[in-house]
Amino acid sequence: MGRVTRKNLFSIMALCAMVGLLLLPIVMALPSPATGEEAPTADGAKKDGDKVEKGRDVYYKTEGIVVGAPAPKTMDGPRDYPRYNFESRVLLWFANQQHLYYGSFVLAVPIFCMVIEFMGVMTKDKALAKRYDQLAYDFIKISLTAYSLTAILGGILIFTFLTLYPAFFGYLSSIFRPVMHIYALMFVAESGTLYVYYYGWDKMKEGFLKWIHLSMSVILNVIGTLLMMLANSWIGFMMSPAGVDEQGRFLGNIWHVIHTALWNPLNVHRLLGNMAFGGGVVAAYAAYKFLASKTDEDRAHYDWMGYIAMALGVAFLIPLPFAGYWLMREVYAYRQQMGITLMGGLLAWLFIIQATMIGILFLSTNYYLWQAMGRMRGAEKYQRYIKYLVFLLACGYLVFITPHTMVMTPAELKAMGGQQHPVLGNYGVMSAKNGGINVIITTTVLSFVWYMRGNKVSTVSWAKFGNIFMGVFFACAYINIIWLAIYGYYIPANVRVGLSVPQVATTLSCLFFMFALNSVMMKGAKQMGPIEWGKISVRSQYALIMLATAFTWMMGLMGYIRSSVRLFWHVNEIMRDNSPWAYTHTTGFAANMISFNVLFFWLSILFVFWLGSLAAKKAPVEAKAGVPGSVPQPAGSH
Amino acid sequence: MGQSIMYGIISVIICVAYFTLIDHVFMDMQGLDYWYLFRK
Amino acid sequence: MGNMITEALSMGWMAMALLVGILIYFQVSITDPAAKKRATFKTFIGIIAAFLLFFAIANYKNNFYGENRLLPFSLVMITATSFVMAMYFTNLGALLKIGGVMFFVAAFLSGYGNWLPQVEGGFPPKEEKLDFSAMTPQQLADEGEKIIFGGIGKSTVQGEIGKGQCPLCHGFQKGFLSERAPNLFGIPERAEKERLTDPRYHKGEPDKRDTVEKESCPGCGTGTTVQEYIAESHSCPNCYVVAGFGLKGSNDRESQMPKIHKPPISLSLPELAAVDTWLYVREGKEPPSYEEIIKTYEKFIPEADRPKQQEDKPAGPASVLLADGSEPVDQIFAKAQCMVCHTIPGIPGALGTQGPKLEEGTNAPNRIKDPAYKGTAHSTPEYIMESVVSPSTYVVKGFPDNLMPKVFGQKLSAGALKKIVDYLSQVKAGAPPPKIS
Repeated sequence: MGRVTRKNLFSIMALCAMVGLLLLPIVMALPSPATGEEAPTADGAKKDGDKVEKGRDVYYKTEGIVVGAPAPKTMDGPRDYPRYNFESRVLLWFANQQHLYYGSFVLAVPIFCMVIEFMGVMTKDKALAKRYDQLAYDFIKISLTAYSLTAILGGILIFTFLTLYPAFFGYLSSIFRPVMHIYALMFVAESGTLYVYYYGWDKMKEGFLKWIHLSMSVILNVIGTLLMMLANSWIGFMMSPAGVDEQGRFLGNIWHVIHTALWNPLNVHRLLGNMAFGGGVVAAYAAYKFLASKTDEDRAHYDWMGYIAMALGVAFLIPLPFAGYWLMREVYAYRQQMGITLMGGLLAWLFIIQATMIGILFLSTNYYLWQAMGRMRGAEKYQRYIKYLVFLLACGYLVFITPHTMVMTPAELKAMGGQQHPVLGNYGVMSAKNGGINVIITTTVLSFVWYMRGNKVSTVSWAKFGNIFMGVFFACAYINIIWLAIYGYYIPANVRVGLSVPQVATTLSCLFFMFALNSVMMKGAKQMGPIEWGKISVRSQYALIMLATAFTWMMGLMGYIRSSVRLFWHVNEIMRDNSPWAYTHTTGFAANMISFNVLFFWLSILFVFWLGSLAAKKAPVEAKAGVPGSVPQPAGSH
Repeated sequence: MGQSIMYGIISVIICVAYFTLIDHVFMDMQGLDYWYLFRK
Repeated sequence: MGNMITEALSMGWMAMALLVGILIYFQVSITDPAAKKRATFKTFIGIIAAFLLFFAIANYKNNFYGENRLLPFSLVMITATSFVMAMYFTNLGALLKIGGVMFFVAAFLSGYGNWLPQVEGGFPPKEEKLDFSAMTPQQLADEGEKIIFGGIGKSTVQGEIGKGQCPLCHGFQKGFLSERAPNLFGIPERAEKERLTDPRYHKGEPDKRDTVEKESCPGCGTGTTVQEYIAESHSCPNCYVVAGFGLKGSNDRESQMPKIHKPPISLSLPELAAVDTWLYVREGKEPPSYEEIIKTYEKFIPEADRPKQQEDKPAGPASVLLADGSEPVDQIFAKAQCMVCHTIPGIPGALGTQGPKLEEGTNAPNRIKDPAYKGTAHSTPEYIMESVVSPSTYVVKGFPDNLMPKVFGQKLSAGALKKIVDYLSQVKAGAPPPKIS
């Protein structure tokens, strides 16, 4: 008893220490804006009568006292842009992208851990709870090696920045100086919390201690998210600067510098993207383990793990387009020209690739789900309908990727007789495209619903009505989406733009109502047979790997687009890029570069996994908690 | 059989009503007229 | 191909030599014939795979900048290598196959990216805090040429248009098409010998002028020198209209030329000075000094009307567009200068008569039906698009061919074109004009 209380005491102390670490940067930050404001006033007072120079914020339009130096005017030469026999920008691109991949992974995995650990705590089924707990522990173990790699890559990134773009980096760090130490402290806090969280896992298994452990994961994620938001403020500042005057002089309000026009959309988009990405990486890990495992037991475990990771990843993939839409809208609101460069100008072809990739992601997800029905007895009844889903997906996809207008040469323009193709041009408008993507998402929802009820027969008294209702609801949803898409052609543009909202609402209705209705119907349902974890086809695992790779590629692509939309500005409209690499690469070069980054990341992380498996082999494997597959109703199934 | 048809009809009525409502309300929220074409 | 093989060999000879060594070692050390055969085969596969790998790397290295379209082939090669290796090295099979799938996805996506049309964003315009006042006449003239034609040396090419948009109406070389406005070849001389002495010019007596606007500003007076004549023409086109070039029906009392210092063109005084300097320099004439030119403009443009020199804001490659499509449609018509020649119902100021009245909702269907019509349009929007992008496809009876510039396909963004088409297709004869959106 005494031991337990002492343990309790210690863990509470540890938790308090974490909270303290979390708050420390905020406490440290408090005086710094104050000094930032005071310093110039004191200066001004000293000069006595010398007028204090004032500047106007480029974004917030407020007046402020000039504190910083103007953005340096760089010149092509060894002082501002040292060269090392290679395109500096490509080197930086590589370093940045690798750091970002690892960083996103490391930030996403603790969120998964938190969710899964919480699920484990809440589940009444003891065996299942243990499995969840073990899974969360496995996740954090994967991320630990990646965590140190992230730190190393971050160091490499700063080093690359300092050697290749000293003037630019110097300017940025001078702007962000007031929060630099916070960033560093946050990083220390994150590391500390992560290690306590990881090493305290076994010691804090039961009862009250478990709750403390769980709250540690919450703190860990809060710190991680804040860290990410601070990092985002740099790119936000580069895209849509604020808090400085026209010459780039800092005006003393660090909050303006951080809270730029695009900061929040970027935060949301990145957070969701990280989660989907993390899901992809973990799913790929599980697929790797599945394919490499020799026993049925292992296969069952990793099949289950892959499924959960995929489901979590896709859950964050679905809202991602909406977050992207918000970001895009903010970009247009900030600078219309920027939006046009993105969607209709220089970078428009990259968006065609992106549309293709969104299609690939959804197709692989659907394919995985259809394959996954193979491990359930009773799901055969849906198999014969899958071809119709394929047809729907293909139609939606083809419409979705048809481009509207492109940058064309005069000859091409003439050959086509205008900016649009006479036939295909009709599908390239937003009205049809919205229809296409909504059909794809709705079909994915339908696949999920079929998967969830694969091996079950509802026993509720209104089952028949429920089934008919669900069928009719989906049918009407499809009709409504397609009808709105067609209707858009007959009404003027200003009314048409509004149609996307009911379209999206229809898709989301399917998602929420049908999921909800389905789980109500399946409560206490009769099982045709257990889910036979591990009895999934090998192809499905490759679908997971494809999903993960495609997602990584898409992340690289979108990051490239976001970064290159600044064209020849280091900091948009404040600091010009005068290096020999201020131009925008061709689509093909970018695609090659992204492929290289993606493959480098995957090869390195496969290496990390392999290292992990070596370590695991040495340590005696802890008896697997519960035999996977014997659990009557793994929560993963809904 | 008759019961199925009955259920089907009820479902169709509910769904059509629901989606029409969605279309109308969400267009209305944006200050736009969903019935534009028909009023013209 | 050949040199790539050599490079692959030179890069990977050590690894391959090692594999060959192992191959020989197996021949000697393994006695069991079955095991020997298996080992030999595996090593052989290993050698081939290693060669493919090095070949892929050599391709990557060689073509990284030049023929980067070839790079995805490297990835395809590595994909093949991975799968072949996975077949024979079963203990690493899973890893190799996963790698293969990843390489395949990357190869597909890179190949796709390389297959699409390649657009490269050119270098940004040079950052120059243009200080016109400190330039030599030649530099100033070069800037002027850029403003008029969009680039140095472009003045001899018909159809090149810069920020000033002058060539939309004026010809600048002998024999260039210039029906809407006087050809400006030889203007410094002509200004002195013909224009200033033209009785209709009423030099020094603006009140006697028979034009809708007698003076650029109250009390501004008329031009007395060549440079003042040019400055007045830029700032007050209505003050004196060269015979035959007035707005149709105005009896040369009103000009169709916009005031250049006013929107949408809004050239600043220094920019106008650059333009004028070019007019002299290109004919080998000694231009007035920068200060003198500025002074002439200050005479005709009151302080409040002078546009501020734009905060040197190079807007990227898109700035060559006359309109990018973000503007409301009436501004697009103004920026592209459509209204100079066309009457467009519903667009204020669009009363030109050089070209047909644009009631395309009514006209287009008839034109398409015209037996003389040789274009490819089947609908009103298509017809309008065709007429804007390639005006000579069908020329409306009673109007000259080649009068309308053929540059709008490149000088207007897709969005701007779409707005134009949307608007014009809704304009119908006898109906109220559509709302400007």
